[in-house]
Amino acid sequence: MNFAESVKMAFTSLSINKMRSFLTMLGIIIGISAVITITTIGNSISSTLTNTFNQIGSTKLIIYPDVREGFSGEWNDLPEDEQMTLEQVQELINLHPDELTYSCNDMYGGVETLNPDGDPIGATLLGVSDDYFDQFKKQIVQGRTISKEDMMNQKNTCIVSEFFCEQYFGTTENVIGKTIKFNTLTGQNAGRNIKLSIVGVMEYTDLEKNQLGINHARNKQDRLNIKTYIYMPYNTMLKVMSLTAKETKLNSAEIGWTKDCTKESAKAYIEDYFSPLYEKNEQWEMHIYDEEQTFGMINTVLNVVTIAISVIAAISLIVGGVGVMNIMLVSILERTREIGVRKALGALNSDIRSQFVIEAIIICLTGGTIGVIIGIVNGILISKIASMVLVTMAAEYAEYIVLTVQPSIPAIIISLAFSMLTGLIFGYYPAKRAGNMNPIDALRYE
Amino acid sequence: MKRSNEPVIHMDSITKKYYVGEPNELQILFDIGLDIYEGEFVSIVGASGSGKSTLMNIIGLLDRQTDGEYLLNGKSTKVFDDKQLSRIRNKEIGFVFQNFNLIPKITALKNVEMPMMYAGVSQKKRTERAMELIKLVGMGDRYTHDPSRLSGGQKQRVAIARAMANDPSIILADEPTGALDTKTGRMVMDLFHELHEKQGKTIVLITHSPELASETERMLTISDGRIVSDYTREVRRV
Repeated sequence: MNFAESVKMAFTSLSINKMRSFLTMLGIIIGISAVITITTIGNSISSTLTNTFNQIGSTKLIIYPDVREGFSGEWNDLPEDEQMTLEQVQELINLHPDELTYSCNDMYGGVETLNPDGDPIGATLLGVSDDYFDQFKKQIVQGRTISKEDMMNQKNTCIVSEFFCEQYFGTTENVIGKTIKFNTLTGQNAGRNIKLSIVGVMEYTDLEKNQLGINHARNKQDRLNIKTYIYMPYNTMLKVMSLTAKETKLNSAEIGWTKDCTKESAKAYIEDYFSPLYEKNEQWEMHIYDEEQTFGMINTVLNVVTIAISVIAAISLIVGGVGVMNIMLVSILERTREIGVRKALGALNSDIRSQFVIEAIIICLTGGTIGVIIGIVNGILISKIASMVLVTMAAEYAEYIVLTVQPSIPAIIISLAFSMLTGLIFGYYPAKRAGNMNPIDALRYE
Repeated sequence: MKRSNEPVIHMDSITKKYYVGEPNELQILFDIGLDIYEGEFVSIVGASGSGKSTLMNIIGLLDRQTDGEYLLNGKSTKVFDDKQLSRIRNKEIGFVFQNFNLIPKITALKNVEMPMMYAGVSQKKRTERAMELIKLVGMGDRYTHDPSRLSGGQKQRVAIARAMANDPSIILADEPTGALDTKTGRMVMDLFHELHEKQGKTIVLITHSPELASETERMLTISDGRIVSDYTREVRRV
């Protein structure tokens, strides 16, 4: 008798007692569905976070002076002469020019100008590095982004928004190459005249339009009050503001690394450079913030939960397995005569044994499969609900949160393998008993 | 009736004891000597408790003798292990039981296929042969029924078809009409005669009814575990 035959026979005898088969499977269904639910949720959270971090840019390390871990003395502010400067960051980059990059996005300056109608327009000058537009996925609709050359040669270039063009020129047509003029408002060089030539025009996303108030502006005055950004190379900003890198204090800096370098080396370079500078300071040190570490922590928590659920599932599989064994023993007793007849007709001990083992495996595997399906459905539903909650909670990142539902394939395979194993282990003893029955005793059994 | 020199069944000094060596030791069969030749239709008659079923179980290799020699088709059965016994039951012997012993919840066709399944016959050939046998026993229109939807006589006819599945050399029938009324019992007996006359099957029929036994060409009477008479005659059936 071949294997397919036994499987077919097993399904036949399971379908005879549907209710009993289902109840027997229940323990296994519960165990497996719990594991698959939790692993599906875990996997979905992981891949959603991975995607989200990749979009926001987890390929950066953020460094900032922070209080040393475990510091218990009196807390003081960081002395001004120990604050991080642009010069330090540039020096760090220059030590490893092919490996480290600096992404500047936090040099601000308020400016003011008049449009051709004589209305005052406010704006914020933002000094950025050439990777800014890629990193933050700003949408350039005309012209180009700030180039490396703009940076190196401190060119007076800028990128403005469509909204700014409407306020300043009254149109968004043919603005590339035009020059804008304005006065600085802040810093020691307030009142300076600055001229920048537009190389690109960007469009804000809906979310940004909401945040800036563009979508809510009802009249001309409302619109004139809205300050948008004028993006320019930060090098150029230093020049036009007559600032030096040494005087430019940074609260934090984003350090990236090229493909010739790894995150670990980047961390080591940062450590090597800043440690000596803060050596004598007992309270402060240069802290390296790695978003992936937060991510890693979430993963660790998920793994712990998964292991805990798996242990519970293993227990429920054992309980389920004992149930299967019990039912198999009952079933074999009920079918003693059938076993006798089969033996009289020429079934070998091994035929009978494999018939019942396969029956037990089929019970467990069917239970496991049902459990997997229930688990996937549960996992997807819960993940969807969770992501809806997450989107409401973290509205500013909403556009980056793309739910990726991903059942864990290894978990499914392992679960099915374990349910098969349960059937094999707990089905073997009853099956062996059936196989070894004496045909004449079995035939006479009432 | 043609007879080869070699008996299909040869028994010499067969004894069967239960609880051997214990105070309640029980001997069922005493010194049974018996030869059955190919193509014979033999009936074994005896009262209940006479040991005829035990003898049949030993002939059918469902049980082993305590002592003595049993040759089936010239081969000593003593040396066979469980696996070999199963194979011989499967290929050489067809059983027909008093209470039919069809497997419940599967169709008549599947029941007839079962011995062939254990013999490793392919599904296609199995179904072909089973259909052929089911038609032979006059159940051609009922092959999809499961046993619970068949009458006693119909069940027994399916059981006979099953016994024929692997074309065995011997058919062992243990009180095949015992659970049937006279009319259906008659039909089953006619079927045995047909198998015997048209297909030349060796049939061993166990019965407590002397009338049924008198239809067969050879009648063995067993009493208290001993064969007390063995008598052959020319039977003319109407």
